[in-house]
Amino acid sequence: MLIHGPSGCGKSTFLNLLSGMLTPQEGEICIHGQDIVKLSSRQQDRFRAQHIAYIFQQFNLIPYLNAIENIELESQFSGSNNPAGKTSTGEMLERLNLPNPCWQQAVRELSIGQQQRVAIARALLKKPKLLLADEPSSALDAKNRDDFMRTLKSLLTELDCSLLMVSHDEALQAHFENIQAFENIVQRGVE
Amino acid sequence: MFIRLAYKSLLNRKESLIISLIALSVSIFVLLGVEHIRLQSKESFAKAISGTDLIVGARSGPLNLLLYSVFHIGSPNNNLSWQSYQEITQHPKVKWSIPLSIGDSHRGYRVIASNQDYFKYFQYGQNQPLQFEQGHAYETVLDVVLGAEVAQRLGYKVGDKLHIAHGIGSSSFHQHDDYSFTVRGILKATGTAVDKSLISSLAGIEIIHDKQLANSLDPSNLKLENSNITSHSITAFMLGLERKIDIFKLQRLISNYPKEPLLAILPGVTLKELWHMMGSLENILRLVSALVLISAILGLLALQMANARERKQEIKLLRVIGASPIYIFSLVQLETLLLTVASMAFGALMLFIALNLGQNFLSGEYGIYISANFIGHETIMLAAWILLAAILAACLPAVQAYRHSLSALKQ
Repeated sequence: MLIHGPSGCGKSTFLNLLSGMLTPQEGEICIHGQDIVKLSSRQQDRFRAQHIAYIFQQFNLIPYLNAIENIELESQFSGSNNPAGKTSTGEMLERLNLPNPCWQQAVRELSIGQQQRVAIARALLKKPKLLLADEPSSALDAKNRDDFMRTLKSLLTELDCSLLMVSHDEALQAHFENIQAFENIVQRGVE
Repeated sequence: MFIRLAYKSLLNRKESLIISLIALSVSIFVLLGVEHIRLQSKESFAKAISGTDLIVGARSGPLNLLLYSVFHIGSPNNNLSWQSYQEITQHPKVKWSIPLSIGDSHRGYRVIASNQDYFKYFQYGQNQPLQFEQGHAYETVLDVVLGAEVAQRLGYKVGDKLHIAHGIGSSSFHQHDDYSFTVRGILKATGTAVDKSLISSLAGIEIIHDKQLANSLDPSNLKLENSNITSHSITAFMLGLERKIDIFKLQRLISNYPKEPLLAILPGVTLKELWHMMGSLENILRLVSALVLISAILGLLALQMANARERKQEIKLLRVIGASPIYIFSLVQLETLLLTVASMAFGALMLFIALNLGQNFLSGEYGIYISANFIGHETIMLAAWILLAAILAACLPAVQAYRHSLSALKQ
């Protein structure tokens, strides 16, 4: 699903609400049948760590850790330390076209595109049910963006994971079946 | 992973942290160093003499007498006559005596003139007698026995010849060049002032001070037992008594000696006095080093708190990927702990190097024998205290980070 709208209209705030990082003043947010507003902050942390993955405008990578360490750190928090972790991490990075020599470099030394791929690998290795993405392709040119979307979609299909992306980039619409304008959602909510 | 994260996070801020690390290392160095020197000097003082019941010298201060007779520090201001020495040692309660004549030197090392009883009765540590590494006690007037360090430093062996200078200091103007002394024996190391001394016969010292006597000497007959040279005066003497119970009686007797003003001290008691006097100095040193440590830890805290602002982003990142506030708290704690442990390692290393370099200076200038091995019960306890202080202090930035991490996601 793609939600599009102009910059500053509240798309990111909406994603933050969904991920439980912001708490609404009223109402409920249901994900997989769980109202996350009702959870304690610790339960929210756990729920987020286990079920939701996201890719942000800023990639939220720890700049001084390398790719592998960034991924391991997250999997440690989500408690999904599967024994096959090491190999699948490598496989995932390679599928995302991030060659081995980059793995041991601090991520701040990587290019923006490479950092983004690390962030995606990290998000998907959690095997989440829901992937929230906030303008993940804003740093890419048209060709790379399409490649990126194709790779992302094939991985998502494999993992049986839904994607909720917000973007102001209308060109992305070609890749989505369900496309909503943010204003319309808000409109419906108010009504 | 947790430790790796803390380590890399520290490394990421190494420019500012290195200064803290150095400050903390230096303060730990000072603290450990002061503590070690304090313990060692206490031990070194306590073992300097043993088995001697009384030390007798011309009347001056008891500390002064102890310092120059046992530690070979400072100089005596008066001698006592040979006659008094003879009379007192003939007292029936006296078991043995060691006469001492101090005031000459060889290349900066003190020359102690005595008789053969020195090797027989002098004891240090826990009633340990002097032992020879090489050779034996002197036989002729112009023989000399070297302390372990003198022999090692100046490279003398048994049979070598050396000159003795009048006065103290390595560049004495007046060298007694007329007679050279022969090294007859080298003592085993004792860890006391004896190591830094040359022990000559009383007669030998008389000769170098008296031209006439020197001229009348028969070079073919220098055997001590044949020599009729007598000293006119000596600096001090040590006494061993038949029964300990008579110490005070004899001390009183010597203090009231009618022919000249004398002073008799109990070495153990005067050592305690000396130690007591140094005690307040030692406490000031400890206080200063504790303050240095506190200021270093405060400096570290200030830095951690100042860094908190630039770390807000980092904390938020960690929170976003799922770190709990407790994790953030522990992370800051662990960082401070890692820094402290690293500082301790550096401080200890610096101390080890400094002790190895400073050992000779301390023993030469102050008669304090310090071992370079400073790891003991007390230093480990001290390290534990430092660590505890660091953990407590680190609570401040850690709580700050914790509180920040609670609200980090809402921003």
